[in-house]
Amino acid sequence: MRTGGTSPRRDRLGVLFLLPTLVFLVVLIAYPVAYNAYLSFQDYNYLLGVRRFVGLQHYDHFLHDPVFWRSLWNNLVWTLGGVGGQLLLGLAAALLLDGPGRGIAFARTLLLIPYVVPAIATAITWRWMFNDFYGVLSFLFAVAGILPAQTSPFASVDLAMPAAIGVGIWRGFPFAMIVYWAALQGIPEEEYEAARVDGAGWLQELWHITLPHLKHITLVLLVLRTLWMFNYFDLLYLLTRGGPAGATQHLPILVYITSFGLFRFGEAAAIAGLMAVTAGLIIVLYVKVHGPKEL
Amino acid sequence: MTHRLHDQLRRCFAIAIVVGLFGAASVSDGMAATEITLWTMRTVEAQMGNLRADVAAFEQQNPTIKVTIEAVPYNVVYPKLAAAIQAGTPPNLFNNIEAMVAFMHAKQTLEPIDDVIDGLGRDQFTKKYLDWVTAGGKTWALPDWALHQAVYYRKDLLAQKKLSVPKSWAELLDVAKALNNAKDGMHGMGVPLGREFVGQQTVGAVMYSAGAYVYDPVTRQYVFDKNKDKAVRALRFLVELYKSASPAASIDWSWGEYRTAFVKEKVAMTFEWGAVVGQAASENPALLDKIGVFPFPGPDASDYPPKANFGGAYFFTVSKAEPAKVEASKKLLRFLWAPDRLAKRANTRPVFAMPPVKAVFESAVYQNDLMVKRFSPELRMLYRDVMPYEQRHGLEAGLNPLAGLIESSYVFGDAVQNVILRNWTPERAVDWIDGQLQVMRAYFEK
Repeated sequence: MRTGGTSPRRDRLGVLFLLPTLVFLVVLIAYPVAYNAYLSFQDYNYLLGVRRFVGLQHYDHFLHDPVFWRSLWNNLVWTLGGVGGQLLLGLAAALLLDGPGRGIAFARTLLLIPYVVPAIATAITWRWMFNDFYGVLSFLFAVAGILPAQTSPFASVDLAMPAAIGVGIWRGFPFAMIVYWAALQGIPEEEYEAARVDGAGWLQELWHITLPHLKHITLVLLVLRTLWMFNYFDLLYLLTRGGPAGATQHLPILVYITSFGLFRFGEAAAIAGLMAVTAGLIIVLYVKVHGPKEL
Repeated sequence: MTHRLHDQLRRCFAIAIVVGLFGAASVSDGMAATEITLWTMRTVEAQMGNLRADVAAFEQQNPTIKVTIEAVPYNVVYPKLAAAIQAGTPPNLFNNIEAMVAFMHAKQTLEPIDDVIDGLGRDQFTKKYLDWVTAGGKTWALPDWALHQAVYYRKDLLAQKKLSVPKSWAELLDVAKALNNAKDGMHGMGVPLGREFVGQQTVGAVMYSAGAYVYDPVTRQYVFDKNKDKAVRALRFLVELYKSASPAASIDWSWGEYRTAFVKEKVAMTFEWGAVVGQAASENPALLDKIGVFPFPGPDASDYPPKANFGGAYFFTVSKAEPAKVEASKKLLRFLWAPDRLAKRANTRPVFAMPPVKAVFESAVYQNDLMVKRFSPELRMLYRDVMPYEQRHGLEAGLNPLAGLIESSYVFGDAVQNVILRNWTPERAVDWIDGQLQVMRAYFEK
């Protein structure tokens, strides 16, 4: 009886089982990425249907284009602000809701709602809450002296991005919360009991036991959420359209406007290529700081 | 051959005959039925309901034609249309705006429809709208709704302050300032400058009133670079109007926000397309008697009403396809353009939409609509003083790709936002607009 090893038949069977995944990877990932790279070297006149090879011309153009750099800066602010806020709020919510009881479980479920509400509904609701005349948040900010009366943060170059980041945090923190909550379940209770015997308080438990245990999952969350936020288009676009005066135009919005506003698909592909490089650099940076084993 | 095998063969033969007959019937059905798709950018239920009813009546009269209707909202129209064109499946009929016509014409997906227009009577149509969709001596779209942009205002507030309807920029600024009322939270003028579409429309109104055309309507040459002084003057006035009388947040306002502000009595006047009337009817009916409208003035009162306004229209286009589908599409257009149907279609959004055909505008079906009756003098004034002088960025030279690109690229909206929020001078903003337009022109004139 054959118990292991390989045979041509088994090899063929293995390849056959792999085939759906390979087809999926090639059609949905490898081909679009390769086509994007190809397109980025073309001056693709979509309206006239004419294209010609221009090499690195688009990349060179954008590396000297202030609109690109401002969009990249906005992208970094949007990403770092959003990810930082989501992780902090997610951790706080997970710690608060880490316990038994029906009420706690219900609250956890309730807090997942922002993550499942469609982006368009989120955007419309928050735009309404920030409306200059009727928005409850604009009113509260005015009362608190943060905003002049009857003003919307989306009309200010200084406040539009912070307001949008706030919405991004609200929408994304449940993911971090649920991941942190799951990780909390894996921390041995004995460690807390031993610490309590030694007289440790809540803060010391958090600092010396909880947070070290969450280090690995935090890095995973950082990488996942950073990539997600860096490429996140629809919420910001629906909230601000990249305005006012470009204050919230990040790279995905620039790609959208370059492709479906100006129909310069070659240039849009180059921006998307630069985005991919930037995202890759961010990941490399994370790995360098935390060590490859952490991932 | 055994008896059993014989039976099996007989059964197989019978099944083959049944399958064959069924297949033949399907092929026969397939040959008889012509299926066409109709996209519409009108997503409001009243408009969709009207269109569905008309199409259902058409299908009843023409049982061999099946029409699939799909609503396509503004914010997804470009990606969806581009994808459909790329896939070779543009809608057979598309109820859209000028920019879409320009885009589809540039992509060479359109079928000329002069035969339909000539059959309906070319002279009946408001010439302006046909000019916008004419290129190479052919007409590429059929006007459906005539739109207008003007200033909607509160008659009661002007009367209270004994103010007259302004006939120049200076008068408009004075009236707007006079209508500011901090105690009631009332602003004199809503100046919507949202980045997507609305900013361009507002800037367009002021630019055209100053004569700052993109193309010369007579010579059809690009002239924005020669009109920079007029454009700078227009932009300077617009910024002053915004700063003097408009809510600060209006720099981010789109249609919904400024209409709500007017209907909720937060602005006394606003740039508008007439849709506030419908919104007031449902949200604040007491306001209806207080609403008036006047053409947006130009720099000088002596030239009132100005001979150029920013305007627009809705059209139907027919895409290239196999002859049966093209013919079915044109047949549906002829059916939809029966005068009563055209009038009723405009009445689904009264005041905002008007028939582009004078006889239909005057028809009892159109004029007997309650809202049309109520605003009859205003509509007649708009039909007479505003619509014949409408312009749209890039379309002064007829249908061309620049018109589509201007609409989709936010150039005018971005320019005015930068003047207000990033301290660009109007001169810099106008130079920037010209630079962007030149790049766009070079793009399709390569």
